[in-house]
Amino acid sequence: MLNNNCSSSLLFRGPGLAFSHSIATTCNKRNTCWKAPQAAVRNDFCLPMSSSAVKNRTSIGDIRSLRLITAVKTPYLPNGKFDLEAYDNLVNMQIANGVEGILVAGTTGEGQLMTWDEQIMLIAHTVNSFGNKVKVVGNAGSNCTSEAIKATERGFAVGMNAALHINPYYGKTSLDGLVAHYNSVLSIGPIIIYNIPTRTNQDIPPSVVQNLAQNPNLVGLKECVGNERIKHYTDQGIVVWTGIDKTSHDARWDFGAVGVQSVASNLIPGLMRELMFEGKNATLNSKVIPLFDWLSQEPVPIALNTALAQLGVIKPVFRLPLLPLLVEKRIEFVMLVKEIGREHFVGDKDVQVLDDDDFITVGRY
Amino acid sequence: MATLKSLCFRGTAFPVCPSNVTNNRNSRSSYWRPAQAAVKPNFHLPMRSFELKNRTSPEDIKALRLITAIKTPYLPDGRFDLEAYDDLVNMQIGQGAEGIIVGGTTGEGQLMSWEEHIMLIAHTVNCFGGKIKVIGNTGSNSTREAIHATEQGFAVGMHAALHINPYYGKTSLDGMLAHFQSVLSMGPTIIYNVPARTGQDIPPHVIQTLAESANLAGVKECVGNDRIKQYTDDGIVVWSGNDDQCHDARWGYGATGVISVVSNLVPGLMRELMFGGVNPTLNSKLLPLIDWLFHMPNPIGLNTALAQLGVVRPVFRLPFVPLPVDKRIEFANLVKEIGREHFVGNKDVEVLDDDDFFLVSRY
Repeated sequence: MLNNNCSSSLLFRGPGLAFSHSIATTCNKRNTCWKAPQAAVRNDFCLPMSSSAVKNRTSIGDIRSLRLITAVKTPYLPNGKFDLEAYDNLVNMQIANGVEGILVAGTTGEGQLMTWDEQIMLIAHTVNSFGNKVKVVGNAGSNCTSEAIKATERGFAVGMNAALHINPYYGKTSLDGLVAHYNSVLSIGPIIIYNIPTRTNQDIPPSVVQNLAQNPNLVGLKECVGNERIKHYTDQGIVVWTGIDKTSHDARWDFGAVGVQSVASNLIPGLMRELMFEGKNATLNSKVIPLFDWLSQEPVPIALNTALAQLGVIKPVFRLPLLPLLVEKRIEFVMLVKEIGREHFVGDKDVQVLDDDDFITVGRY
Repeated sequence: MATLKSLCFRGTAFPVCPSNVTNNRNSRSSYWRPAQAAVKPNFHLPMRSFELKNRTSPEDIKALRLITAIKTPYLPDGRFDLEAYDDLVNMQIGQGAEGIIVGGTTGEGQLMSWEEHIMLIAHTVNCFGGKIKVIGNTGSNSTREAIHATEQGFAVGMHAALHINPYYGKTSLDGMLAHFQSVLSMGPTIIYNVPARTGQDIPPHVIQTLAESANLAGVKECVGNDRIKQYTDDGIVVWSGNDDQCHDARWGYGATGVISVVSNLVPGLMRELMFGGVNPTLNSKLLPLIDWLFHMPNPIGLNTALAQLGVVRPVFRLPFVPLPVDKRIEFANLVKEIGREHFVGNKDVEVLDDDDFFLVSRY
């Protein structure tokens, strides 16, 4: 998704958001709670896009009960367009192996490289094809509030069950701006907040989350800071998924996480399901940790893209700025597949190393 | 920013250049070589024109010392306020700024549609291109967007492009190189390194590889003055991206100049800092203002200040919101201490009430 996108084709104004008070901020030099300026909200008579037809009957509780959500990879044709046949096959394998939710166009799905029309198409396609078998969570977040609002409304209009929302990255804002941003989209439908400071360079502090948790549309949090933070939330009754595969077993069984929003489940959905559902299993966890390490050696989803191509379930096509792992890493992956067992991985072709010139990279598409 | 959806434009794919880029995660003690991914050649041609719209060379860009990352002002409904924008640019030109960044971080480029952004670049070239160098922020974390925006920006006549490394959706060092090389051939380019925002430092060896291209004008560097010195000792042109360090960067570490936020407010004083020789007295006089500006992520402080000076309307595109009243009182005091005559505009500085501000969430 073109996350810098602020389409001006629709000058659409809804009721202004209510402004929240009393945000504690670490930037405040005085030892007092900093209170947000009571900036006026411009009211006007344009209405938000809404529909009375009930497209989906998913409750907040249904979303909260999901334990295994896969941040599914988006496969490409050689010209850089979506390969929907390969995508459908990926989603079907996820469903068959017990995955309960699909995150569409997330970081792993390369949402930041999509146009909005591609992204909404993919969400709608997923709902239409699989919406009765798996919950569809659309990544509708952006660092632009206007874009986040529009993408969220559109996503719910095509029937997604929940939206994932990152805090504004790169063009960072104040904590007060953070609350204003989130309140703009929380009124639209069920929202999962996503905190990954290694990518955004801004941690969403517990004080902000607790403030937002007062809104009934807050489903929970996808948290990447670590298990201590997860426990801090789950002890307060806030639902959390870990976003880190490597710590997900412990998060689930020792720190109160409801489950995982996973990258690795793209490859081994059955084993991830076992980790989340079948009780503590330190043996299985340590068996798959080398795979988790391999997957995270370069920014997600570089290694995942490489691995799925080696397994023959997607074409070896990369949208820039992502590029495949080099040949020695690909050889390592073949070894990992042998050690864990090919039968646990998606697809049924023999895993290949692939030559460098098998890969296609596209900058214009 | 939205890609132009109506144009499905495919150009010749560029070659991925192999390079000996050291990867910190490489477990072997050897140079990591990028995968020699094949490039799919095709018969679509890049968008190109042989008409010379501008004769700016990378050397002309390298000579600029004071570049303002100009603020984009808004009308109450969230659209650009071009009258206020023109006044801001005229005041910059009047007080000696030599270049402006259009739609940078300070200009809230990440909140623009690409149509708005290209319009603003073209407008700026058309109105002011003969008096100041226009540098379009056409970088993106999507290579597709960066390619499209850069070609279009140069087509409408911008003099140079500013390119960030892919933020949020980060890539490998090899991917970073491929990203930059896809746009470097289009025209004079300034690479922008601000790891506090992107979450990824552009390491020196990547810059040194890119510096082999004649189109690399230089680096806008925010890591600090030691990094700047490393580059300037290698003959690479650098602008400091940190207002609080730019005086020392210029006079002590070889920086050519600054790409500045605070020059939006006090362009004449920033010019003096960059051209008038070592002046620690003036530098220390400005530091409280600079500290105030960066109390919250930029451009929150700047947006608030320009509204208080009466040169822009008090309108914010979310997710930015104004500073609270006690901070606004602080700014009014800073203006008195430094002297209103050094600040842009001529109205008395106001504190403004909270309900004077408009927050726009849809536009």
